[in-house]
Amino acid sequence: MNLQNYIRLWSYFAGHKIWIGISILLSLVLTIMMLAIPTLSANLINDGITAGDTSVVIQYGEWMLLAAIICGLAFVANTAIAVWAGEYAAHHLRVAGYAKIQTFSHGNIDRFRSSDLLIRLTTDVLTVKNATIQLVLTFPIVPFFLIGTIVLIYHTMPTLLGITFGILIALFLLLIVYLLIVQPKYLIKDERIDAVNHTLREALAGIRVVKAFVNQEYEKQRFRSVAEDLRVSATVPQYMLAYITPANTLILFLGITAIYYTGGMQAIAGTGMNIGDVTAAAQYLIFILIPVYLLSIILPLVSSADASLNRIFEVLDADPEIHPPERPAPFDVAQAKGRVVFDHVSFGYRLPDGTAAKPVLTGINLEIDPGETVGILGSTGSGKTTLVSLIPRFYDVTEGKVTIDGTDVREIALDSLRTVVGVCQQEPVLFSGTVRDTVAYGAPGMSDDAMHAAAQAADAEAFVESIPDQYNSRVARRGENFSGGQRQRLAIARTLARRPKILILDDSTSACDVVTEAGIQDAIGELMQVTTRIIIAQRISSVITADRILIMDGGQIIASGTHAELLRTSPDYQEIYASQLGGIAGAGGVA
Amino acid sequence: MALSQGAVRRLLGYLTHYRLSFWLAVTLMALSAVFQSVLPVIMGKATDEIVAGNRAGLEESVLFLLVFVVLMFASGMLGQRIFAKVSQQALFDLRTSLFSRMQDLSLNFFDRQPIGELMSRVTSDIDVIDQFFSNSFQNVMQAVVSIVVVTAFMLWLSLSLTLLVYTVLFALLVFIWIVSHISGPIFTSLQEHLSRLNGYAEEHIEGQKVVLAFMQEGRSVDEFSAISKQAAQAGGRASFTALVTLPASTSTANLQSVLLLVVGGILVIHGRIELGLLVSFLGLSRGITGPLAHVFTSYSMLLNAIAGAGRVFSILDEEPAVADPPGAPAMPPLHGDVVFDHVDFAYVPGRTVLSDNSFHAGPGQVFGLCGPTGAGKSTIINILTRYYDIQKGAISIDGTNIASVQQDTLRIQVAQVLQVPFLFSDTIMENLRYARRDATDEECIAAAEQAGAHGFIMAQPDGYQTFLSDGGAGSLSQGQRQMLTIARAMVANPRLLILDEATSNVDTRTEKLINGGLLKLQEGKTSFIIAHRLATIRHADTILVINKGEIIERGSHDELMGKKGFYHTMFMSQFRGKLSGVAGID
Repeated sequence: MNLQNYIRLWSYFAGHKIWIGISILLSLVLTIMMLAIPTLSANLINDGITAGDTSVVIQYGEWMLLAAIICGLAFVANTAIAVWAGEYAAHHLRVAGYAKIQTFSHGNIDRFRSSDLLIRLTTDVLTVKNATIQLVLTFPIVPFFLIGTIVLIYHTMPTLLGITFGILIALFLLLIVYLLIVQPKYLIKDERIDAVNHTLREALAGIRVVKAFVNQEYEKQRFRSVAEDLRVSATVPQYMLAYITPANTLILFLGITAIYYTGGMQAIAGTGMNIGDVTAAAQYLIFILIPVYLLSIILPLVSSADASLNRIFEVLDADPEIHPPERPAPFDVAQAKGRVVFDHVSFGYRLPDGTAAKPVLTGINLEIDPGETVGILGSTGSGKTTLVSLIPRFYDVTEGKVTIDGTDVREIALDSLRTVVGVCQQEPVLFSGTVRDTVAYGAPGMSDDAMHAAAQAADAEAFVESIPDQYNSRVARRGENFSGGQRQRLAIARTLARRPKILILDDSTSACDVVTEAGIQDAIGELMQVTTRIIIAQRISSVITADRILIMDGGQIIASGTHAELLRTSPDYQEIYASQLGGIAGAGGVA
Repeated sequence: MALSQGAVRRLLGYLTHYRLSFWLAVTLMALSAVFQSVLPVIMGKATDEIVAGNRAGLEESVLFLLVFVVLMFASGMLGQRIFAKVSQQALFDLRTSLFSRMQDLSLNFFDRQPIGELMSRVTSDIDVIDQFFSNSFQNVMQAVVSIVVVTAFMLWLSLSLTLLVYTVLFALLVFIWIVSHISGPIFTSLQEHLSRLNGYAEEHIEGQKVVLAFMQEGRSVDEFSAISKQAAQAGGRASFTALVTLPASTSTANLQSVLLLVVGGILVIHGRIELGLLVSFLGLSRGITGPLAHVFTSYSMLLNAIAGAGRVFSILDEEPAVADPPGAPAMPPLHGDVVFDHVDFAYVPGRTVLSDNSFHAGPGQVFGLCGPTGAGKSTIINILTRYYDIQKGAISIDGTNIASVQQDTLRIQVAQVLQVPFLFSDTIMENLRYARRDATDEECIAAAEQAGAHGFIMAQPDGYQTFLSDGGAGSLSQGQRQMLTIARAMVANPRLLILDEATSNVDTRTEKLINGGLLKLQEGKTSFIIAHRLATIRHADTILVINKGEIIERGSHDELMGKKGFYHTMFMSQFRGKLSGVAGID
């Protein structure tokens, strides 16, 4: 366990630490009052009942009532503070983590994986919250109660101190057994639950394959075996608990029996013990169980929260890979021409340990003129997407430089850079909201005319206007209520709405049919006055009309030219052409 | 939320299935609670003996105390042990029967909900049932027993003091009742806030690259912060209502002690009762407040468990939509003569996907299916393998109506290669053997060789024994995984073959590699090939062009080009006017 994590968590309470102080004070008050009640009741029995004095009974009764009320109020107030502290910590960790993630560049996101980041912000934060609540609520009570009860037992019946410590040691031994032996068994159970879930997920996700090969019975047998493992591993800690929980009670009541015996014998012998003292001592002994019980609840929570804090702080401490330029070069967005140059560019993705992996791009030299349309073809993993990601600085080059209108992209202020360069990524990620929100995402509050123009250019206007609420229609999470082609067109409209000078379409019309795709490409030039266009595609038909087509392979540009030129000169292009559009055209093309 | 008696009984049925063990466990745990409840009474007696100065009496009481403490421990421990076994066995039964049922359900069940949703529902529902079985059931049962036994003892000892205790308890019950009424909406509101928070975070972390590209980081952080703050407030209210029962029950216990001591003390002074009885009552009253709070906290868990069980049962009660007719014969070995006779089909009644489809594919023929997205191409093969039942018309293979035979005996003779290759987290060998459980290693290796997969398999660290974690998503390329599914289909050695966009997710070079394997696979089999890249189906014997659920054109590639119809337009649009410039075509 790492105390450092908790010290750091503590620092989040800067300015509010007084409340934690108040909470500790309340815990103290609460403990004193809880312990005062049996003490007062012993006096009530001894001086009131045994002495037969009703007024003393009532007097002590009043004191007890007061103690009970103070105890209740302190408890409620402390609960309120604990809950506040938990939620306060959760909120601040959550927002700090989220804000940090929003500064991440692609490299960071690739390494953390977004599903994992989400778990850190939700599940891990929840764990920390629950632990914080329990810590504030009960942690100070543990030492207060332990010290208080031992002092009181000693005060009432000094001869019982031996028994008390014996019981305390026994209870702590059980606690240690619980923490060190039983708790880890639950971790094994959790692993088995994961295995069961994994088998379940696979059998459901692959249900078509299961049914196609008629393997339902085989899957059932597989599931039975992991479920059986889970059953066994879940029974083990339950078996152990079956000893531990009753054993706690056993020890406690054996202690109480001992108190009745020794205390009672002393009282009968008349050695200064009273019956009230015996009952009070028995009550104190019950109190001794409380801190032990609390520890058995808090300690597992604290240790799992420690792991969660590690994961949260790992996010907070991550270094965003892309740093904005300290002194940006003068760059006028409005006057940008859109000339893109790759100058001896090499690039390799950073590995999780921070070192650079083997290069994905090597020695790229490329000049794209304002107004030019460049198509990029290449097999999966050839580096197409990586190449264009360097222009808006989603990643930084490892060697060489990328320039726009002669200025190194690393020297252009990030917001200027990303205004000039518009990227429409492969997988159209739409956020929930309205169609209007979606199109205007990059420019909130844009005019209707601008919005319509963007939608038109992306060939989205027609289908948007065919749905009942048109631009006010709901877009569900991930845009799931639109077809793949519609999502892609909305994503293109969103990019176009910001009127980038340099437009990058990364396989972003793959789900549209060929006719729609052609329409979009034509409209972009006419309506949006985009100057420079870079189109990555799988289909040769997507780039067939480009001014220049590049073929990439193994991180290098292996051919470049117009469709007609490449068809004459490049065997790679001929190969792609023949396999995609070949047949009747193949013979003529290769000739 | 109301308790549905049927669901409770059915859920408990999983426990009472192990009749002897279950009742033994319950009896022992109840006995343990009884023994524990008796202890304060014996302590009261011990007190009286002390006050009376009776040494022998005290020794006797202490002996009793010891006996009962040990009995309490022994019965509690044994009962819990037996119950742990029974409850875990019951959970095992519930899990496996749920899984079996899901394996038996038809595909339409899986169309209705995304797998992720189904998964999280199943796992979290079983989890709350687990919590209930492992913790709450035992607690509630022991609490109820304690309350009954303690009340009985209290009544036996003194009616007036019992009434006194119950007056205070009544106040606690009223308080709990009020809190439970407030907490319902508070927890609902918390759930809403949390799902909003998680939803927002999920969307914007998944889409972080978009946020970044559009420079909306600041706005996004502000929005998240506002949602987070609301969630924190809702969470605070919920946690407070949940936790406030603890001080409430503690205060109740304290108030009870005060009242009992004052009232009881005066009664003792006036000689109406013994001091021992008062001491017994003090102990007994504590034995009732705690359990009562337990019942309260467990009640909400019971409700959750029942709600979860209800959802689990709704899956268990689901019947497969595609059922074999009673006494259906097995499908005889196929030759592959497929006839669609005026087939109509709709996934959802009223929304026709296919209407009046008829065609005939002779044994060994290659059929290509093409058409725009959503035209119904995949539907045709879904109903050909009887994943769904058709509404009108008939599908027969070799003259046998496929609806009249056992569906498994049909499916086992048909192999499919789908767009997204799906492999299991197992060794490569076991993945190949998945097609036919009794296939030998040699047969699997031979199939891999035929599919052109042997080379890269041998390049894996452990060859055929390489374990594919995550279905090979990390270690193999999409193309390699597709080649494995082709090899797998070869192991099945089917009579009928279906390729549904088998090469549309891979690049041209990989496609070439895969095509070799696919051609081997097709040899001598009736094959149905779906593709949107028209080059893939160019060589098919017959191409069916499907649009809006109807076969609008059919014929070979050359015939269809000659028609200058829909197919011709689709084919030519790929070239965007560039074709005539480079290649001489009519």
